[in-house]
Parts: sequence; C-alpha cells; structure tokens
Amino acid sequence: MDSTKKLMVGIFVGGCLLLFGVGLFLIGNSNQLFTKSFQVYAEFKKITGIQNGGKVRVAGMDAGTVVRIEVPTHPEGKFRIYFKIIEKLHPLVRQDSEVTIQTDGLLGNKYLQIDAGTSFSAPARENAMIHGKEPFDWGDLMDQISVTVKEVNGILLHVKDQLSATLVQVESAVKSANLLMIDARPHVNSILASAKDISADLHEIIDGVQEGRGTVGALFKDEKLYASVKRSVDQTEVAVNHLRDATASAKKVVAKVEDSEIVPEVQRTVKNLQQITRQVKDAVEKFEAAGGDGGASENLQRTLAGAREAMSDLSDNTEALKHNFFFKGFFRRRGFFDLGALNVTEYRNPRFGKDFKQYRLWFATEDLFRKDAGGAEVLSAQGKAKLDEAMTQVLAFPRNGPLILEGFASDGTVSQQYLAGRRRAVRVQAYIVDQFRLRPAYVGVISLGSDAAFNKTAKDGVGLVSFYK
Amino acid sequence: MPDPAVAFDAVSKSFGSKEVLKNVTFSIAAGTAFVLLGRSGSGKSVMLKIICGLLKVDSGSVAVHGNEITKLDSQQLAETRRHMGFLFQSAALFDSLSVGENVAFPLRRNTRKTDAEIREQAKDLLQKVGLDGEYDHAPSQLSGGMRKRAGLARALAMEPSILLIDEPSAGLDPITSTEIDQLLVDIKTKHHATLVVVTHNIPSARRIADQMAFLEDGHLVAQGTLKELEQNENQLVRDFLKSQQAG
Amino acid sequence: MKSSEAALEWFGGMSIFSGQVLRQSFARPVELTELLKQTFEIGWRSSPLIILSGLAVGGVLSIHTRATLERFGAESMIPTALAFAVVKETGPLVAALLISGRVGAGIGAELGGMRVTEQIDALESLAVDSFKYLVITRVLACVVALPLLTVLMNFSGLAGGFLAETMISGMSFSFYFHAAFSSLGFSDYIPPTLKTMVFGFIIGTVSCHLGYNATGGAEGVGRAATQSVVLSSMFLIIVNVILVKFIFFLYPGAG
Repeated sequence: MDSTKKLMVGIFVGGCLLLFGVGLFLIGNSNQLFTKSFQVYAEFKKITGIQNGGKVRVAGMDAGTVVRIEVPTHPEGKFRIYFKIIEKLHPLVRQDSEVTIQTDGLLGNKYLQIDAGTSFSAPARENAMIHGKEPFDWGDLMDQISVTVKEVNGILLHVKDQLSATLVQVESAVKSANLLMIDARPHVNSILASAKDISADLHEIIDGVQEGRGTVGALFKDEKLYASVKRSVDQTEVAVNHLRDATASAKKVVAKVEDSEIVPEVQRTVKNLQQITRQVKDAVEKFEAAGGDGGASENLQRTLAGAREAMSDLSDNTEALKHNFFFKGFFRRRGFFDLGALNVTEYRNPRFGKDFKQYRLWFATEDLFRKDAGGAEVLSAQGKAKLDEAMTQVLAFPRNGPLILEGFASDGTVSQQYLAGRRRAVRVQAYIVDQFRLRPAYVGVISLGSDAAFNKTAKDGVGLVSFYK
Repeated sequence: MPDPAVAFDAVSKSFGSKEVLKNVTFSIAAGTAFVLLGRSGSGKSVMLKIICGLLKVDSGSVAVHGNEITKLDSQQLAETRRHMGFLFQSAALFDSLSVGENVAFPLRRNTRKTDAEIREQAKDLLQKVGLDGEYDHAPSQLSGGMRKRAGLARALAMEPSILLIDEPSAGLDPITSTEIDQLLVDIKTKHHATLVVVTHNIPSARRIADQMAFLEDGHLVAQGTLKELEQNENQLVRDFLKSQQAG
Repeated sequence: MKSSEAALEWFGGMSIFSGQVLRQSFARPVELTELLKQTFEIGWRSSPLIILSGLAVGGVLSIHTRATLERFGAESMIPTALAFAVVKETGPLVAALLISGRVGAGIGAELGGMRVTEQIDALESLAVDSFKYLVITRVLACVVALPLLTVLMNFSGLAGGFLAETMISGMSFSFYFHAAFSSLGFSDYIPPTLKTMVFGFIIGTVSCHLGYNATGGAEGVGRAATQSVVLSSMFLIIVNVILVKFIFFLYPGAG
C-alpha cells in the first residue's frame, strides 16, 4: 500500500463525501433550512390536499414550507395550517394578507399562496393568524348559478303571469288602457326575451361545462388557460350578482304592479264598462289624466324601463361571457353568438352559417299582413295560416341551427325601409316563436331594407331562412 | 522425556463419506526429519493440514509440543502457528505480492521490525534459497522450482521449530529436487527444527528422512527408519520402496 | 440431492457466512492497510466506470423525459423529473448493478483462485485470520464504497442530463441544478443513498462467500466468479424492493 494509493483513496472518499454534502446543502437551501424565517398560521375548512412540507409562496415567490397541520376536534372546527416564511419576505406579509390554497399548474401539487398585504396594515407577527380564503370550488359556483337561475325563472314566470293577467284584462276592457299596454308591452317582452336568452345561455353553458365539452377538455393542459378560466369565473360571479340585482328589480316590478292602483282601477273600469258604456270614456279620461301627472301609468313605465336596463346589463355580461375564450368553443360549435346582435355585415359575410345547409321560404307582404285601424301592419289570418304551413315544413328539418327572418321593405327612405323591414320580421318572429314554442335565442331577425338579394322582383315581404346540419 | 514435537492419538478424519484417516496414532520426536510415504490420495497432505490446525479432526487428538491443537483458541492457535512453517505443494505464493514481499509477509505480520530490517532479512532468506535478485518479480514470473524455493524461504522466515513440507520435489527435475532436499537437511541441522515431509518420491525420502511412516487406505501400516521399513513384513511397503529406487 | 434442497442449503450457508461477517466486522484488530487497499480497488478503480455510465444514463433519461414532458409543455419540469428518477432509484440501483458486475466477479475470482491454489491455507499457516484479512476487508470496502459511488453516479447522472438538456434547449447550469434539487427533500436523498450500504454488503458477502468456499480447481473459480455476479445482482434487486417499501414506511412523505 504505497502513499499514492492512499492519496487516491483519500481523494475518492473525500470527493464523494463533498459531493454528498453539496447535495445536502442544495436540498437544505431549497427547503430554506439555512435562512431565517418566521412562522404564521391560517385556518381552512377544507385543505384540499395540502401536506406537511408543502410549498408556500408569497406573491408568487417560493418563500417557505408548511410546518404542521392541526386537525379540528369537532365538525365545525377548521384545519389550522402552520407554515414558515423566509424573513426576507416579511414586509410583504401583513395582517391583512390573505392565504389561499392553489394548485401548481392544473395537475400539480397544492401550495399556499399568500397575497401581499397593504402598507396600511402592520406586518404579520410571529405565530399570528393570517386570514385564509376557502378554496374555490367549481361545484359550489355551479350550484349557486343554477339556484339563482331557477329563482329568476320563477320570478319571471310570476311577473309574466301577473302582468299578462293584468294586461289581458286591461286590453280586453279598455281601449285607452290598451294604448298604455301597447306602450309597455315592448318593454315587458324584451325583458322576458332577454331573461329567457340569459337563462337559456346559462343553462347551456352549465350543461356544457358539466359534460366537459368544448374547451373545457383542453383547459386541463395549459396554465395560461387556467388563469383565464379563473378570470371568467370571476366574471360569472359578477354576472350572477347582476342577475340577483335583476331579480330584485323584477320583484320590485311585481310589487309595484301589485301595489299600484292598476288592478283595482281596471277592475272598477271593467265594471263601469259593463254597466254604462258612456262612463267608459270618463273612466279612460280619468285614467289617462292620472298618467299625465306622474300617476300609476308613468310609475309603471318607469319601473319597466328600469327593469329593462337591468336586464340589458345582465345581457352585456353574458355577452362578455360568450366571447370569452372559455365558452368560445361552445358558441362556435353552435354556429353563432347571439342572433339578437346580428348585423347586416355579419349576415352578408359568406362565413356566416357556412357549416350549415339552408332552407329558404319567401312570404310577400300582401300575403302576410293586413292593415289595422291605425294603419299598422299586423299578421292576417291568411298570413298566419301560411306561416303555420311553412313552419310545419321547416320543423321537419333538424333543429340544430338558427332560424333567420329577413325583413324587406321598399317604401320611403333607407331608414324607413330598414324599420319597416324589421317590423315585419319581428312580427313574424313573435308569431312563430309563440305558436311553435321555439327558443327565441334560435330565431334571429335581420332587416335588409330594400336589398333584394333574395328575390329580384319581390321587394316587400319576409324571407324565412332555416339553417340546419 | 521431553514432549514429542507432534503426537497423533487415534486420529480419524473423513470428508463426506470418504474416510481419509482411520484411527492413526504416531509421534515425531523434536529435531528429527519425519517422512510420510504413501500413494497419491492416501491422506498424507491432510495430516500436514491437521498438524497446522487448518483441518479439524473428527475424533482423536493431535498435540504439538504437548499442546492439544484441537483445544486451542484462535489466539493460541496463531501463536502456535508462528512457530511452524508450511511449504505447500503448489508453493501458494500470494499472487498480489512480489516474491520478496511474499517472504517478508510473515515478518511484517508477526514482528515489530522496521521496514528496512524486514527487507534485509527477506533478501537474506531469498539468497539462502538461491533466489537473490528476484525480490521485485511477481510470483507468476518464476518457474515451478523457483516458486517452491520462494515458498520455502517464506516458510523459514519466522525460524520455525516445526517445518511442514508437502511434496518438496513434485514437478521438479532431479537436480533441483536434490538441491531442495539438501537445503532442508541443512535447516534441520542448523536450527534444530523438526521436519515433517510428505512425499512419494523415494530418493528424496531417503535423502531427508530420520524416521519414516507409510500410509495406506487411511491406516499407518508401517513406521520406523528406512532400514526397518525395507525389512517390513508388508509386501506393499517393500514394493513401494523398491519401485522408485532407481528414480 | 434435489436442486431446491441444494439451494436452501446454499442459502443457509450464506446466512451463516453473513452472520459471521457481521460479528467479525466489529472485532479488533482491524486490517486497516488491507481495507484501504480494497477501498482503492473497489472505490477508486470503479469511479471511471461509474462516471461514464452516469453521464450516459443521465443523458438518455433526460432525452426520454423531454420527449414525454414536451407533450404537456412542461419542459421546465425536466430537471425535477430527472433528479427524482436518478437520485431516488436509478442512481443507487445502476451503481449497485455495475459494481456487482465489476467487483463481484473480481472478488469471486480472486478469492476462488486463492482458495484452490491454497493461498488461503498459506495465510492461515502464517498466523493470519484469513476471514478477517480477506472477507471482512472486502465486505467493508463494498459497504463504504457503494454509497460514495452512488453519490458519484447521481451527480454524473445529473451532469449527463444537464449536458443533453443544454444542448437541446440551452438551459442554464444554475437553473438546472436549482430546479433539480428544489423539489427534492432530505428523505428523497439520504435514505436512497444510504440504502446502497446494504447493496454493498450483499455484493461483498455473496461474492466473498462464493469465492472463499470455492472448490473444484480452475473451473470452480470461473463458477464462483459468474455466480457472484448473478446471485449478488439478483439479491440486491430483490432486497431493493423491500428497502424501497421500508423507506416508504419510515418516511411516508418520500413517496
């Protein structure tokens, strides 16, 4: 055994031990064993898989580890998670910091995320509690949405029943009341339509998400997507809040209608009508007079306008949701975003409905409409029969694409043409939606004015285009 | 009367079902050269290993200088072995050491001499067996006779009182064989050592032996001087001694 | 005798031999010079083999890991995944198997040769405890060298992984090693490294047992060498399963 061999054994043993030590040091370093740290805790009802030794991040930076977890002693208790954070990040951890349980990527380990507090608050003390925000749960959100939607539906139905009962009475009884109602009706209709839209869309979104269709599958592969999903969830929460507001407004509408003097007034009017025809006019005049100086009718109108506004807010939010990438796949699969927002340019774009087959029908104005006493066009009995016949054909095709009603008119200025065309299409829409119980979201209206792309000779009428696959 | 150097008393030894020694009794006086004769595989080498304590007997007892070798603990056994030298049939030099270090090995293990002293002594030993200048060679570079001589030098290193030698002339030419035999006789006379030699080479036995014994089928069939054995009533013994007289 | 009986008898002999090794390992005096010599043979002489194999294994693992993780866009996980694979299992096991091949065969052949040429008897005749001198020193050297060689294997494996990775993606050295060690805990590092002491004990005892008790001339020596490799590899793979389970039992978090 000469000395060179001894030296080599020394190099071998020493070198390997040194490497081992380097490994120990690197691991210890990454576990913050050698840095000064302080300990705090947070409480959670659910800990969703946090373990001893789990990572802690302060504002995204690796900052420490979970030291120990105390299990609650009774069902109402909370888990207490003790963790330590390196001293360097102490200035960020304030008494108003918030701890959440997060997942590293979508499938990674759970870790604790501590949001930096505000400078108004004192730094967290050693062994102090930091407020823990319960983990977000998709299931909870979905439950919340569906409960709210049900509630809204119930209220809307209630409103509808109340209103239509009242309106029917009013309409059949008093001409002048009819005028008022004609004024109010678009408001109410549009509230109902958009409420239906919203609840239908939400239903479909929830269904889609629950079945894991569309982008949801892809979701589980990308962290960026994950972040966006969280944003969209926040938006959904906002939307739900809006929906609540809308519900409250709708409740108010009902209350107002119930409280207001409309019902008893109308009833009295009806009685009067039944007794003395002569007195009807007086009653109407009186009623109109009441409306003139800020009485019940103005009140109702204002309320309805308010409700409509609230509903359109909600529409905007669901609209944003639709264009959010998360649900984009869903709407793309459906083939269109929102038929209500369809404009001529979009409609004329060859890409519109390119995945669908089309079935077209043409109805001339004179076949569909008659003039009522006020000169407005209303659907004639003959027209309704024609539509019934046509729809029977259309409904023979699969109902998986939109139904578009194109309104045409050739009299007057361009804007008059547009409005007249739109009115015609809307009348037909209202009729077939009601008659055939179609989902309004699937029946779109577009006014093409005097643009006679459909038929060179016929410039007045309604075109019915059914898209299907 | 002093204790005999080696004494076997009713020793039996078997390997598996094969009995190698059957109730063997004899003794070797100190300072004599004792030659064990017998046919190949008659158990002669086993007797050497039993004397050295490398093999344990099944029954009977073996005493070396009056100490029963079967009852010694490991330390006493090691102490006894320090006074023995063993030359193996194949010399059994350590392949991992040079020839000189092989000879120096027992000195390094069992004495407190300095490195220089040990080297000097090992060189002397090598010179004694006619291997001067081979100190740094590897055992594999030596011929059979040279290896045997190096083995002898190693066995002599501790100046043993009992020298156990297994086939000193096996595989060697007659001249080399004669040289080694002469060396053994010299050692016996100079150091008053007891020689226990196992061989089936009769000329070699004649040159060395004071006393002889003949082992056949596990039994010690004859014992005595060369003269006595030549007169032995056993035909086999007489034939054996005659057969190699020329060789 | 039936072969199963023979196997059991061999295993019994092996167990007694191991017991003797354990008992004598702590008995004085220690054959220090010989122990250093064997550490040199088993440790130092094996390091080039271990380093080269480590580089190759690490590189190949890294390439495969990349191919898989790339699909999920998780390339930044490569150092972590590789560190887990190498430090927890591949490093210790591959090092042990390589050493069982190189050293096991060596010990089996060397001791077998010494046995059949009576060198072991010669040692005994020179008042040397051959068991302590030959067996204990080799087993101890294996027990000492294996964890050290495993560390060498781990680091050269990570280095090999780094070379392969940096050639493809140009990942920086400091990021690579920081990422590699950041997810490892002590329980992922220390027990798997120290468990190779058991592997070393198995390699040392099995091959010493086969060599020390070899019979049958040159052929017997060859058999001892071959069986040393076969049996020690087999035993250490089986024992590894038990050890992994045991470590998991001691450190549940290490899974």
